[in-house]
This record gives sequence, structure tokens and C-alpha cells, in this order.
Amino acid sequence: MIKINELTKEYYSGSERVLAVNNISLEIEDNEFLTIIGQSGSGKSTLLTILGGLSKPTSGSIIVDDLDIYSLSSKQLARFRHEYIGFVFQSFQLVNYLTVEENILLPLSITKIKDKAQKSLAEKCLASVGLAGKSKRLMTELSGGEQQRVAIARALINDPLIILADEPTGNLDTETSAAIMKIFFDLKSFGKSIVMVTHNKDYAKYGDSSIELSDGKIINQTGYTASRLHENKAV
Amino acid sequence: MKLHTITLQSIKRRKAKSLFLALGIILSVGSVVTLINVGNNVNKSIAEHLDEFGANIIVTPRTDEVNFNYAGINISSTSYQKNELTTDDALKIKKIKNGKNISVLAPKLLNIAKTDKGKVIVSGVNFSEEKRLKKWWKLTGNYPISKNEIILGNLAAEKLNLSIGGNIEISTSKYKITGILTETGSQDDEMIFMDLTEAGILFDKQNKVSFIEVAALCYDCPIEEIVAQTSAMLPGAKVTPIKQAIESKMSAIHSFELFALGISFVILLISILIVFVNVNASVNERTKEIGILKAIGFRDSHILKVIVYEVAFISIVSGFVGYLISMPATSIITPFLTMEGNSSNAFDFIYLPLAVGISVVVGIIAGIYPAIRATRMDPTVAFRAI
Ligand SMILES: Nc1ncnc2c1ncn2[C@@H]1O[C@H](COP(=O)(O)OP(=O)(O)OP(=O)(O)O)[C@@H](O)[C@H]1O
Ligand SMILES: [Mg+2]
Repeated sequence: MIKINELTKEYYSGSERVLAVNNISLEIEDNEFLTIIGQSGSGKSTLLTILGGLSKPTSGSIIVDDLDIYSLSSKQLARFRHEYIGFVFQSFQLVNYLTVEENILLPLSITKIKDKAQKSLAEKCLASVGLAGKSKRLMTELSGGEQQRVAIARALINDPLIILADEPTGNLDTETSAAIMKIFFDLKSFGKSIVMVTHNKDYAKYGDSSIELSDGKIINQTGYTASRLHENKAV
Repeated sequence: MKLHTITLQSIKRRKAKSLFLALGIILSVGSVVTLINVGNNVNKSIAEHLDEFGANIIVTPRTDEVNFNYAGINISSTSYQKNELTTDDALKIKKIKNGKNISVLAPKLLNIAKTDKGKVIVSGVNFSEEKRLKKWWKLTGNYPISKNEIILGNLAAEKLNLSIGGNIEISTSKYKITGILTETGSQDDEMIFMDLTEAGILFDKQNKVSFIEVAALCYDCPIEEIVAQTSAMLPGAKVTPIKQAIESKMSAIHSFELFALGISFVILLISILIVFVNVNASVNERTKEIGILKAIGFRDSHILKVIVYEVAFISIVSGFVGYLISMPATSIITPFLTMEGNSSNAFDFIYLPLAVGISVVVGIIAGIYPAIRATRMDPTVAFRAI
């Protein structure tokens, strides 16, 4: 479970103070699919970076499985990211001089896992995102949808409990987006918790719960009623 | 997949960048190693040929008279100094601390002799030493092999009207002329040269020596010390360094060394700047990549390694290539600066670790700041679209 307690993040652009996240409190259950919507600049990405242990909040705390992650040293925090979090970004953020397989294996390059085991893991992950047989390709030889699949596979290779996705379909056409969304829904059945920022209100509905941000505050919250039981939603 | 896979792929798939960086290091390391190598060759060559410059120390008896002038020689056969030098004194010079630096030891006994054809200066010498000391001597005929054979300078030959194969009577003994020196432009032209021991007997100055000319190989030893050591060994003698001969030669060597050192320093500084600018730009370009690596769970030390491995790898390879280039370059340049007509083409492996060492140091100095900066980059840039 992820507990967000009175979280605030302020930025200064010049002398002007920007409250990117303004006193947010929220709980995310294990295996919950949370979607976040909101206008541009409302603080969605900021909230995600704080959740993922990449950006220290100005105040408040993030508790993951009873662990206050910002009380950790930077070394321990890196380890937390490595073990708990898988990131997926709007612009894929793949390393363009590495092949599909090498991109997927990036998180394992700092582990002691043997090459053979790494390769078979990569194959499994590739198959699960529908990219079997394309492991030797370079990024320039892939479509946008394929690149996002690679990025998802990279987020999954470490088998993290939490997937944080920032507008994963933002750069994709409708059809491709639907296919990517299906992958995310399937992830739920593997027991992952998923937090996804999206601009698309239709996709937002598919989550177990959804919040809407404005000026760093939650202005709408759905799915937090008595029955947080998840019905089976097909895409 | 290991960290170094990232390094190798980055180098391989971004060839132009890697090549530019490598070129910067190769050229600088190549030139610096060439400079050092050529400098050493020049020193070695000068050391090997230093005795070609003749004597650089003269040992004379300590006299009350102020000047014992070798050039404008005027030696009275009757004047005996109280502190005469002996052949033993000459041998003692070999025993000083820097004795190994003594290349030629040429004792001489000078006398004015009355011959059947007029007065002439006779110099008793040790021919084998004299030959090594005066490499510029050109002799028509042969050097003496027996005690009653002599050679003479061209002016002496003219004055006395003598030629090779002729005979001359000095005091009471008869000598055969085996060779005549071609003009040297020095007082040697007017002298007769005979064996030192024979001269001692002839002039009744057995084991006595007028002065000793010394050639010390001194490119890496201070001539002043050799002078001091010789003075200490021979308290009765006056030891005079021939300043101009030594100092101009030494300062020529040292100024080349200084020049090479200065140029090397500037070259290395420039290459450090080139590598720095290159790595820094590369780190900037990879801001997002670094952000992702952090998001994935890379620690600062991992990020540091990703950058440093790349610079280090390119540096090592560049050092090796720089070495490969510097060796033929040295072979081409050395003959222009040394007395050797040719120089060996053999690759001197001593310079390999030097070349690789220099390039790694350049790489590390230039790369460490950008690498540290990479670890401090904000990882949230990965969340920005585009
Ligand atoms: N590094 C930063 N420095 C200064 N201000 C920042 C920084 N990052 C974000 N902000 C500001 O914080 C606010 C929230 O930004 P954030 O990126 O979280 O918005 P967002 O909801 O993700 O927007 P979008 O939908 O456009 O991605 C914005 O006003 C933004 O300008
Ligand atoms: Mg955003």
C-alpha cells in the first residue's frame, strides 16, 4: 500500500513560488489501478516523480509498505526505485544507441544476474508486450507503439510492484493507444499497482479509481466509495 | 547486459563522436610521446658524442705564475714548478666518484726541442687517448706504433721541411715520421707528437706531465662536481673547466628539454580542454538518458561509471594508437636533430605505458567533472515530453 500524507511540492521560477503539488493526501491499495487526470500544469507529473522516489517533496511523506521512502539515503532510494518502481513515460525515453533487448535489460545491468538468465527474462517480457522476435532492432527501426511496448517491457523486467505511467498514450494514435491500454489492464492481473496519468477521460474511467488535479490539489475523486471491489473491465 | 555494455554500445553506435574524442587524445599523446622520445634520443646522441667536442676540463700544475697559457704556449725547458703533475696523477682522476663519466684522459708533456732543423715544440702524448680526444684530427700516413716514430702538424712539417717516411733528430735520438696532420687551425699544426713515455725519457722528465686534458661525459652530471672531485683528488693541481665548451653544449641540450617540456605541457592542456568540452557536451546531450537511468534505479556511482568507463576506454585505445603513431614519427624526426644519420625503427615499448598513462590521465582529469555533474542531474527531465 502507498500512503500519500499531506504532500506538498513547491518550485520557484525566479522569485515566483509555484505550488505544483498542494497538500495532497491519498491512499493507493495494492493491486489498485489509479488514474490521474487534470489540465496541463496541474501537477500530475510532479506527483508521479515524488511517488517514484525521484523528487523530494517540500513537505509531507510517501509511505510504501510502511517505508517512509524520503527518509532513505540516496543510495537506498535508488535501490527502492530499482526494486519497487517501473516507470513509463509519454515520450518513451528509450536509449537510442541500444537495441530493443539492451533497452529492456538496462535495469538488470546493475545486478549480478547472469547474461543467459537476463536474455530469457527479456524474451519473456518482450513476448508479454507483443514484441517477440524484435529483440535486435534499434529504436529507429520501431514505430511509436512498438517503442512504448519496449518501454513497458523495461518497466516490467525487474518485476516491480508499482508501475508509474505518465501519459503513456500521449504520443500515440487512437488505435495504438487502445492496444497499449490493454497491456496496462492486463498488468493488473499480475498483481501490480498502477498509477497512470492520462489526458483521455475515457481511459481514466477504466481505473479502479481516479483523481482529478487542479493547481496541485485534488478537485475530484471517484472510485473511493464503499465498494472498491474491481469489476472486470474489458477494453 | 552489464554496465560496460552501455559503454561499448555508446562508443560503437555513436562513432563520429567517439572518433572525434579519440582523435583529440591520439594527436596530443602522439605528439607528446614523440617529443619526449626525440628529446631522449637527442640527449643520448649528444652524450655519445660529447667527447667529439674535445676536452672540457684541463688539469694543470698549481703555479705561482698566473697563466699557464696553452694557446700561446711558451714553456721554458729549464723552468720546473714545485707542484709538478705525474702520470700517476692522471690515473688518479679515473678514481673520482664520477669516474665513469670520464671519457678521455689525455696527459701531455710539452717541451721545446732543438732539432737538427730548428726549434720546435714537442708534445708527448698517449696516442690512443689523443685520437679519441681530437676526433677532428685528419692524418696523412699512419699513427706511430713504436717509440721512435712520430707525427707532426702541417706547419711544423713545412718549417722543418719534413715529409712522411723522413727522419728527424731530436736532441740525440732519431725519429721516423709516419704521418702528417692536415691543418687543424690550432697550435697542433706547429707541433711534433711523440709517445709520452719516450718524451719523458728524451727530456729527462720521466713520469712527469705538463698538463692533462680531460673529456667528461656530462650530459646528466654536473661538471662542477667532477671539477671539485678532481681538485680534491689532486690537491697540487689546478683544475679548470673550459666553461664555454661545456655550458653552450649543456644549455643547448637543456633548452631543448625545456622547450619539449613546455610544448608538451601546452599540448596536454589543450587536449584536456578538448576532451572536457567533448565529454561535457556529451553529458548535456544525454541528460534524459541519465534521468532514465536514475529512474530505473541507477545509483550515482553507476552513473559515474557509465561516463568514466567511456572516457577511460577511449583514452586507453587512443593512448595505444598515439604510441603507434609516435614511434615512426620519432624515427623520422630524430635524424634531423642528432648526429646519427639514421635512427633505429624499433618500437620502444617503454613508451607504451607512458602513452597510455598520459592519455588516461588526460581523460580522467577532463572527464571527472562532467561525470560528477551527470550524477547531480535532475532525473525528472525524463518526464518532460519531447
Ligand atoms: N523543475 C521545475 N521547476 C519549476 N517549476 C516546475 C518544475 N517542474 C514543474 N514545474 C511547475 O509545476 C507545475 C506542475 O507541473 P507538472 O509538470 O507536474 O504538470 P503536469 O500536470 O504534468 O502538466 P502536463 O499535463 O503539461 O504534463 C507547473 O506549473 C510547472 O510549471
Ligand atoms: Mg506532465
